[in-house]
Amino acid sequence: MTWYLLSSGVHDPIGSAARGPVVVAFLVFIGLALLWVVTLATHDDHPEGLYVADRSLSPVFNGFAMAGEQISVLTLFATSGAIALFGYDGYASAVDSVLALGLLLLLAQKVRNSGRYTLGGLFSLRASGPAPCIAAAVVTLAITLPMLVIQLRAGGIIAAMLIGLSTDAAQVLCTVLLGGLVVCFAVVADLKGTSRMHVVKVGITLVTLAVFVVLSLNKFSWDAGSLLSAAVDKSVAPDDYLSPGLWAHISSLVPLNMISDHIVVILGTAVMPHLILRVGASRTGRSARRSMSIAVGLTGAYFLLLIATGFAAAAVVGGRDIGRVDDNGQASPVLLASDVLGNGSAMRVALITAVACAAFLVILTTVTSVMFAAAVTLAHDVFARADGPRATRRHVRALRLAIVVLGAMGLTLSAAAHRYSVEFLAIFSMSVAATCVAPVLVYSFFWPGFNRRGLLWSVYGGLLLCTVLTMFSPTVSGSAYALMPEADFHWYPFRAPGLLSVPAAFLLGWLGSRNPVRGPVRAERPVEQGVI
Amino acid sequence: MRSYFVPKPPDESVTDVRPQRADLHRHAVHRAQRVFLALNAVPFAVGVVLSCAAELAAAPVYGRLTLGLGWGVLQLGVFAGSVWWYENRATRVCDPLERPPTPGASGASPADASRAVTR
Repeated sequence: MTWYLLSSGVHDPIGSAARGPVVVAFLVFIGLALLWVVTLATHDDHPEGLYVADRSLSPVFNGFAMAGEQISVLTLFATSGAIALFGYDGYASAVDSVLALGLLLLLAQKVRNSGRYTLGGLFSLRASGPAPCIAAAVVTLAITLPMLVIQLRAGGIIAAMLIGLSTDAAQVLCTVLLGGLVVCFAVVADLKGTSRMHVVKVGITLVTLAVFVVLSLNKFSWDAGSLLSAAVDKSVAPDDYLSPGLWAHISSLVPLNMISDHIVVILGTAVMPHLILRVGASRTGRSARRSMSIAVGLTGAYFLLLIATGFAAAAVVGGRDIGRVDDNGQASPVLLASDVLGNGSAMRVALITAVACAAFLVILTTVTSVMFAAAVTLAHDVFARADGPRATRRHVRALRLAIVVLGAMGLTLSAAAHRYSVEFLAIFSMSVAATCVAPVLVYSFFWPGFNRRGLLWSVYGGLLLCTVLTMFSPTVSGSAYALMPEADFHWYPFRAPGLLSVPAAFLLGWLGSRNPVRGPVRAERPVEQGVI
Repeated sequence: MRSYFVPKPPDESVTDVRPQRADLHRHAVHRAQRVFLALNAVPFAVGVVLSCAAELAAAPVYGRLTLGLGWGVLQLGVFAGSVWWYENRATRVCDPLERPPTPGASGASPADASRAVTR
């Protein structure tokens, strides 16, 4: 298709004249942010205070923070890049990301009323014993580790580009330095501190994107039609830009590939562990629902601005130029900031600096959230269960240790995978969430017949399917964007396993629950009345 | 999203046959959820069909605006409207049924706070 037009290379979109002021302002912002981080550091030894802020977050505050969770490295850079490069396909993905919050809106009150805030807790609603908690820990790691790798890597690449060093060594160095800072923050932070940073991030990001849109429209005489026309004309494939199927991996079986993407994005985005943790931090079930409604409004505004920014980047910079810098178009916001105003203007420096600061905040907060949620699962569901509920100080130490270990693993893997295409990791992570978590939550809250066996069948069967189908998909071999582009051992034709794995997980959950239990009957845990 | 209504034995008194407050709450919540899902399922299904039919999605509607792009904006609009409706409905109808009734009234359901089971 169009992959041959998009090749990586060393680029310097900011220019040497503007770099000095941008780097100085960026470093000052990082210094101020870290000073703030120090003030947010907590010495609380009470686990619930750390994990869920003692369930004290108000609907408005938690709603803003929930919207902040949606402003991730993936959405801000990858989705806007996908819109700029692939037009309709990126646009459909952005729309799905907003719709995903509808599922979480329906589940939020039930999740909060259940009193659980980790996947292990939710999995234990219908099953007793350590098995559900172990399954939840496995699933949480399968979701969060790939996310950490991708976000750290993307953050390193963006940071390297901002300081004008686009070599591989510089990108790895930036990844490690930035990741180290984030791990330090995550180790001393708690949920409330992270939430405050999310709230600030929402404001900065929305204002920056709004400025992008206004300046781009101004460039096209306030005519959105002209902007869209320019985006189409400057794209890599003007005839196909506004049609489905331009995204590199879905050149064959386009309809089924698109359905698979819809399933994975909507179900996967809604049930990420860090979102479940945030729902659990609400004061009551009603408060959780209200915060989700607020988050929907803010997230909708964010994605509308992001869609406009993506098309503006394609119109101002051009799809071909964006593709030359980065195959996935992740640099498109930075390139737009660089090109939308003339060289030498102070406003241009300010705009690039604003993008850099927003990028830093996005990396800091999203990586911290993902890492923190995974560490809470390990400390609360695995360590605390084995160690007993009384040793709370040890639980907090286990949480800190888990963050350091997860951070070290994420950094090592992102540095090691730097040269490779890791798009499959994002797909795998979201597919695991869609396959292993969504069916269990839906069954747990809406089907009284769901039991322990159904849960384990659904989780482990779904995880196995996701792993096998991803391994033999075109994202790992047999395509130009694959992890191993030279090799070709793929037989599964879709880029996301969701089309098969999600229905299979639902089916396995049903079959496992319907099958009569042989041998000694294990007591099933009835779900609380208020939850259903 | 079905409700799990358990019929009362025939020999119970007339006052016991009256639907309990918890049942009313459950019915109200499930109805709001069904309407919310239905409102969004239709535009979503059309959106999926459009994303599967390249020619249809690329059909021009106004200038360079295509049917696929226009439908996406419509989907977001319907979604935002339905979320507003759902929140409004839950606040006006469902939440009062969930709160404990005034002293002396029968059919009390557990309060939200008492439901918050902490592990």
